[in-house]
Amino acid sequence: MTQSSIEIELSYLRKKIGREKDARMQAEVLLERKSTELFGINQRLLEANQNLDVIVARRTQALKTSTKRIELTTDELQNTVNRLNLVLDIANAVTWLFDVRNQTMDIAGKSQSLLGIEPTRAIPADDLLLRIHKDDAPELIDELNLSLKKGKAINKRCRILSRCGSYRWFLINGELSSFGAKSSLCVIGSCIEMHEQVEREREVWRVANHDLLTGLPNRNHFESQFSVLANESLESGEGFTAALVDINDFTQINDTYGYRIGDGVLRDFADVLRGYSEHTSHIARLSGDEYIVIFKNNIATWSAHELCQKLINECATMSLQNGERLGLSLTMGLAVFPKDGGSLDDLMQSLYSAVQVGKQKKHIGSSCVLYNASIERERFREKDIRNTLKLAIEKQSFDLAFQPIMCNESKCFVGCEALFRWPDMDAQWNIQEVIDVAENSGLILDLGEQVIEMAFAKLSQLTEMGVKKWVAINVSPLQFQFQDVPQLISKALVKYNVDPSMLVIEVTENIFLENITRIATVLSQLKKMGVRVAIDDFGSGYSSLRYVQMLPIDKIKIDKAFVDDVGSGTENQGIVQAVINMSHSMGYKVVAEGVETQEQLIALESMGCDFIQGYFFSKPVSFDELIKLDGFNKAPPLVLKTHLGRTL
Amino acid sequence: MKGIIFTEFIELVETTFGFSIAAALLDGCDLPSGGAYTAVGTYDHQEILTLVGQLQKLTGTPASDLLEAYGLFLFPKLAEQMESMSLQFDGAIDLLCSLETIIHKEVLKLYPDAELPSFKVQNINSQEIVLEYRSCRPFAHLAKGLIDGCGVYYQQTLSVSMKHLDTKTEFFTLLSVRQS
Repeated sequence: MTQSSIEIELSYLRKKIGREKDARMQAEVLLERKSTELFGINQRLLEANQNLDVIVARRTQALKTSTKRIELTTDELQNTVNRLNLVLDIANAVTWLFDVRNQTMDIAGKSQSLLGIEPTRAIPADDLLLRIHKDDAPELIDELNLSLKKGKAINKRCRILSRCGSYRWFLINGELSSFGAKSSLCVIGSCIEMHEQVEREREVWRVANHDLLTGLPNRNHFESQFSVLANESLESGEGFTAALVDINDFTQINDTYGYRIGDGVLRDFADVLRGYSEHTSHIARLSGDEYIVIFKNNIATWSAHELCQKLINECATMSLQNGERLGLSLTMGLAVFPKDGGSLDDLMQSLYSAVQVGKQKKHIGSSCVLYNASIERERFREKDIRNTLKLAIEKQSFDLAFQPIMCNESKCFVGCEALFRWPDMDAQWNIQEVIDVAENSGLILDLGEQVIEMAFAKLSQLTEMGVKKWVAINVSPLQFQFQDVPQLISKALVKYNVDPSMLVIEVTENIFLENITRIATVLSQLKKMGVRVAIDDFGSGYSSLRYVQMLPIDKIKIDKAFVDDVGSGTENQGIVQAVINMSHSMGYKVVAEGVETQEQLIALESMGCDFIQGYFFSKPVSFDELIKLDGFNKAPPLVLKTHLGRTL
Repeated sequence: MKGIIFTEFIELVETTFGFSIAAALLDGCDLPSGGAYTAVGTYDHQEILTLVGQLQKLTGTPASDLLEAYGLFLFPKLAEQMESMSLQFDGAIDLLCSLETIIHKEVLKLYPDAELPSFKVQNINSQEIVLEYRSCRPFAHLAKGLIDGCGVYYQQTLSVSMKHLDTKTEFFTLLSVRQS
């Protein structure tokens, strides 16, 4: 190595040392700066760390609070679920969810075993629908579809096959909703077991709508069923025939055989009616002895009439529980819906009108009357009479006529019968028709009171005149049923101060149809007051010798229908003779009504009839004319002796 | 550019060419840093270009050869740092494939302001790859030298060929590396 090269190297190394120093200084500055930066970074990291700690602490606290809240919420939720499950158990209920998209059902609740299914999710809906009673399933599916289409709530009772293999009643409620994260469409609801309740309701309904004695539907059920049948009929345009059935004189059966046998007859009759069920759409017992039958639409009226005749024939011989045979007499009225009545009330009115017509013929046996226009006219006529009579009663526009009664033995007038007269009565009406309307409408009660009052006034006049003749007053069975007749008579006796023995109360045989024991008591009361009692129109109705013997009566008036034939030598003459003999044997006097001829008079005299009444002596006349009659006000008072020594 | 590139370059010159060339090199370059480099410092990359250009003049060796020689020299130094970062690879190809995905990421952690070239890898097979070198600096030959150094480091024989591609905005060179 040369000197110069050594110097160059030395120079280089010296410079290098200088550069190394500079470099070291640079590095130290750099180090210092980096150290400062690092310190700064460290500080910032420290702060960041502290901030992070604060944030972490805050977040941790928030997380704890949130966790606590969730725990509480979970507890509450669990409590709610437990309560809900308890309520579901108590109510024998389950909840259900119908997944519309998958057509599956989820059933939840311990009581799901009631439905006969295991606790499984996502049961195919069709599987469950198969368990619903076939009569209920279509309506439930309709409600489900309505819920899906229109959001209508489901509320349906239906029968579901339970695990014990029988159908039980459930109430199914439901509403359209959504579920899950995707808000899938569903119908959610409950299914509550209410078998016992429904069964109770059905039993209550059955009791409320059926007659306990016969088991037939009652009036209440009939009326609701009628609405259904009427609507169906109007919709289809096909009418139907209805028959109102009334058992004639059923009271007599009760009175004769007792209520137990009577009830048996009603039950047997209901069974007979049930035998016609293939032809009928409804049969009901409306009241005691009144039944209604609605024939099916396809039964023509003439067929219905034939069936009614068949029923009548069938009932002509029925066996009683005691082994006796009884002919049940029926009155049936037929009317057609809507021709004869477009509403329940109108149809019933038509049926009652038809029955009413039939009742007029009941003494000749069963009848079946088809409602027609003439019955309608008769109904309006009766209505007209009723309304006019009502006004007349308010105005007291009546009068009495009197027909004298002759004593066969003394040939003197001994009394008279007071007969109701209505001076202003429409010429188209007759007095018997008016009395019938008064009887049927109940107006006879007020009318009867007025007749009693008028008769007493005239009897009082006779007493004041010193004419001691008895006056007979007709009293309706209805008055005996609904009024205190003895009290009425007693008051009148006091008011007019007349001799009770001058008063004769005439009652028809129809009185036997009432409670005979009560009637016997009432008549006895009258007898104790000194008033006489006579059975009017004997032989025209329910002529019961047993009752005649039982009741405290004085006289028997033979009906004009029998008297008409007296002297002709017919069978009726024999009957009259028999009645006279029988009455005498029981100590009763006999009055023959409607005597019009000499022959009749002679025949009755020869038969021993006690009193004669009729046109042969006098038609019914006014009071003024009566007292002018020869022999009525002049003859001495008669003392008549009965065959048993009774004084009349 | 990090200071280690400069300190190691001076070290190479001193070792290879001697103090007199090193003195002539530094005296002949008017460097802003005055040639006082520290490994932890950061310096303008133009200085290395100036130094390489001046060395080419002083030695008559082409700059590309100088840069490749420098790469070969530099790799073991960088490998030491790599080891200090606990980075380990199966071999040269494995390391080269991990340049961007692992090594540069680690470098940027230490020197966030470092401006690194990109090495996109085209895998051909387990023995051969193509590296797409892209940089704003003309150091493709330095890269080749480093690849050579990598082969030496792993005691693997690598053949590296270069293909410069023209671009207006950057330096783009394909470096095909095949291990034999």
